[in-house]
Amino acid sequence: MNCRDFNNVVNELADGRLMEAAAREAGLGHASECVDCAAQLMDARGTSAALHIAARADVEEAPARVKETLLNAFAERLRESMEQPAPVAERPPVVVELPARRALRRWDAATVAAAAAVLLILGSAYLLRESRRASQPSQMEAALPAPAVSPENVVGPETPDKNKGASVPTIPQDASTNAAANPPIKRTTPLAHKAPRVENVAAKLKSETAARNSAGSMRKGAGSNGGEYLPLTYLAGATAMESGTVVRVEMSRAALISLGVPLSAERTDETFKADVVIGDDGVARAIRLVGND
Amino acid sequence: MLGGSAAAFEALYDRRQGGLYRYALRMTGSEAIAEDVTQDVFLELMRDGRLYDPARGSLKSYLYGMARHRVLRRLERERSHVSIDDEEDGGAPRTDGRLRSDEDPFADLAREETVSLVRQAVLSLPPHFREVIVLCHLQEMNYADAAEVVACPVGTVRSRLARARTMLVEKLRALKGPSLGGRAVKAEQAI
Repeated sequence: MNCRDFNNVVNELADGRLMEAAAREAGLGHASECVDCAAQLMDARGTSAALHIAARADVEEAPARVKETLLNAFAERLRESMEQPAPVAERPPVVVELPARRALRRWDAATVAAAAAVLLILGSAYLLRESRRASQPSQMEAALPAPAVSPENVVGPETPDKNKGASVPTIPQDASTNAAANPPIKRTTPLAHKAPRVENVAAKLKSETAARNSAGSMRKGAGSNGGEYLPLTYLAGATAMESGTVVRVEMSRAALISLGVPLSAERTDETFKADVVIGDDGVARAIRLVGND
Repeated sequence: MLGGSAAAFEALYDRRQGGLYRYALRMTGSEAIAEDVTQDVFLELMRDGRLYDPARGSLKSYLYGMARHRVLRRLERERSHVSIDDEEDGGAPRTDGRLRSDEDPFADLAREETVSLVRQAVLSLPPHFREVIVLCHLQEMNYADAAEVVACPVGTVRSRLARARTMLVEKLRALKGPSLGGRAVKAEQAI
């Protein structure tokens, strides 16, 4: 053992702590041969003895007032804990199923968003429909009183006479007939002479009220060039008719009455000439009387 | 004790208060600080005793660890008070009457002088070296327990202790002269 190794074990040697017997013998042997290490061992033993004396003398304790204070504090704390209500963990939970609430919130948000989207779509559709409705009467009014193609021109050589025989109907019939209910129409002009197409003619012509109001003018105007057209059909969604054909026909009074033309029920076998507006789908849309022979 | 037993708390206090008080006293040299530290340790144990985890160490080490934390904090804050307290005591630490022997008054004087010198020398050590001397020699803890209190490996305690012993010899020699070894040995023989 050299001095450095001895320095590592000198305190254990001085304190008499448990250590390997071989290391102890080596250390003591080195101290017996090395004067410096022997002096170091003597100092270490003196320090160890002094520390031992100091440890034996170390018998102080905390003052009694510390214990009294602590015991009072413990009793006070114990009393407070007994006076307090049940611990929070034992209380019934105030808020439960937080995940469900969150899910509900998410569901609510999704529902609101979907409802908003549906409302937006419906609102847009409604506005679009209203805008179309607002634009259709003007088209109809522009087309019906003065069609782009006059029925007289369509008929050609056949010139309508004044509708002298047509009596004034008192109560117009229901004009809401469809194509299937329409009676057969006797054509006065061959199909080969079909009139040119009428562009941008409104499909939704006029309501029944308008027809009633226009009954007088229809009768008056039916003398030569005919009066106003009376709508025959009210097809849902058929609010616009881009093109159509005006066909002059000859119909009995009864047939006209069944179509809603305001005529009296006298002489039901009497025939009248009329212009019928037929859409591209083949459905008669409107009719007006022309001058009768 | 955590279940609310005052008797258990009192028994624990009686068992551990002396060591904690003396540890704080030797580390700070102030009875007032040692009293505060002892009281604070048990108050915290009363308040946050459930934080103690037996798997991490013994209750003794847990209590000493709390005391050490407070002692080091007080040393940082009231370092100057240590010397003032020492000056108030005249540099003469109190000794227990049981160590006195009526048969050999000279031996008593030698013991008291030795104890006083050792306490002064210990107080003059840096805190990290002081605490291993206090724990391993004055409190007579083994290295493992001291390592738990100081929260460092046993090897670190051992090396610090060796260094502290060397420093302590120098301090004692400076305080009393080169005859320390023989004086201490004579005093121990007188006991």
